[in-house]
Amino acid sequence: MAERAQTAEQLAAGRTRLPPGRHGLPRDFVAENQRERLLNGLVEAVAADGYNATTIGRIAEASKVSRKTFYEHFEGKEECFLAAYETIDAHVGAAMLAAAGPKEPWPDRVEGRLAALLDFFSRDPAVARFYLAEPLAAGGEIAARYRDAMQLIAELLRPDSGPSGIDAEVRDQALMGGITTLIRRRLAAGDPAGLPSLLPDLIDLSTRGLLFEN
Amino acid sequence: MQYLSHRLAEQLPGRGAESPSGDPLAGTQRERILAAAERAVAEKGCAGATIEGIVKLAGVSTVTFYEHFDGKEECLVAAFDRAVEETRALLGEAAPPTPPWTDQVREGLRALLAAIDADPARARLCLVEAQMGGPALAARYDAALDEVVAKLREGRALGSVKGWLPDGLEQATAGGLAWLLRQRLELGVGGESGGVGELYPRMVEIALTPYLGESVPING
Repeated sequence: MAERAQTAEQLAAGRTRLPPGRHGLPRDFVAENQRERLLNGLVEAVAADGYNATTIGRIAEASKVSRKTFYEHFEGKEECFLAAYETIDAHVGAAMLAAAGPKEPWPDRVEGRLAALLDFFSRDPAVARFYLAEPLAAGGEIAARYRDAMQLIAELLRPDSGPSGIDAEVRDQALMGGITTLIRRRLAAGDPAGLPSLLPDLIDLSTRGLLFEN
Repeated sequence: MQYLSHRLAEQLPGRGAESPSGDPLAGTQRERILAAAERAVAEKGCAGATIEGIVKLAGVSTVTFYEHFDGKEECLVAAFDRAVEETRALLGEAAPPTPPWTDQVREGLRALLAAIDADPARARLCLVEAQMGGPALAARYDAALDEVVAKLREGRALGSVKGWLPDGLEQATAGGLAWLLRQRLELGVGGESGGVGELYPRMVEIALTPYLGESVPING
C-alpha cells in the first residue's frame, strides 16, 4: 500500500493511528487525523463492498475509530463520501494541471493531462473505482457531484476554440462518457496496471474529432 | 444471432403458457411481477424497491413471487432482460433488416429515443438503475451495451475518412451515448427540458462521424 502514499498523501495520512488515551496533541490535530482516517476507511470499505452495501460500522472499523467518532465528523455515509470525493477530485485536477499547464498548446496538453489521469488511477485502483465507478451505483447527490467532476475534466481536455453552447455540452458529455467507459471496463477486468496503455485511444478520442468534429 | 439473454430466459421457470408446472396462469403472473418490478424501480430505485412492494403492485402473493424468483435481484435482472428484449424488438421493427448500415443506425437511434420518451420509467430501469442494482444487473447492462458496440463496429466495413480508428472507439461511442441519455434521465426528461428526442441529430453525428466524417447527412 506504499504506492497510495504517493498518489493520495492526504488519504494516506489517515493510516497512522494515534495511540489511545492522553497524547498531549492539540484537539484540532486529533480531529483532523480522525477525519482523514475516516475518509480513507470509507474508500477502503467502498472498494471492498460497494457504496450501497457499505455501512457506518464498516467505515468505522476500516478507519479504526468508533461509530461515535464517525458521527462527530459526518452526519452519514453520503456526507462522508462527498468529503472524500472532494479530496480526490482536487487531487485529480491538480495532477492533470501539473502535468500540462494552461500555457501548453492544445492538443499537446491533452496528452500530458490524460497521461497523468491514467497514471493516478493505475497506481490506486480503489481510488479509481471510488471516483469513476461508485458514483454511478450511488445516484442522487453523489451522481450530481460526479457529473460536475466529469465536466471539469472535460474542460481540461477542450481545445481553445470549438463548439459552444449545447454542442459543447453534448460533446463534453459524450467524450467523458466514452473515456470513463474505457477506464471502468479496464478496472472491472482487474487490470489497473494496463490503464496507461489506454492513452493513445483516449488522445485519439479527445483530439481527432472522432466522436464529434472539433 | 443468438443473444445470451434469450438463451437464459428460455431456461427460466414459469415462462409462457407451457411452463413446467403446467399452470397456464404462471406466465401471466410472471409478466405482472416483472411489470410491477419495473414500476417499483422507477418509483423507488433498485435499493428502495422491495419484494413486498412489488407483489402488492402485481397483485400476487409473496409465495407466488418466490415460485418465480429466488429473490429481488433475480426479479430485477429478469425485468431488465424483458425491457431490453422488448426494446430490441421495437428497434428491429423500426430499423431496416438489411444494409445500408448507416440507415440501420439512424433508424435504430430514432426508435430508441422514441421508446425512451414513450416510457421513461423503463428507460430509467435500463439506463440508470441497472448500474445501481448490484453486480448481476451491472453485468446485464454491460452485455446490452456490448450489443450496441457490435452494431457500431460494423461501420468499420465502410472504411473511414478518419484513417486509423482506435480499438476502443465503439465502446467509447456506446458509453458516451449511454452517458448522455443517463444524465438526461437523471435530471428528469419531459416537461420543460423536452424529451431525449431532441438529442437525435447529435447522437447520429456521434455514432457516424468516425466512419463518415464531417458531412454526415443526419436524416439520411
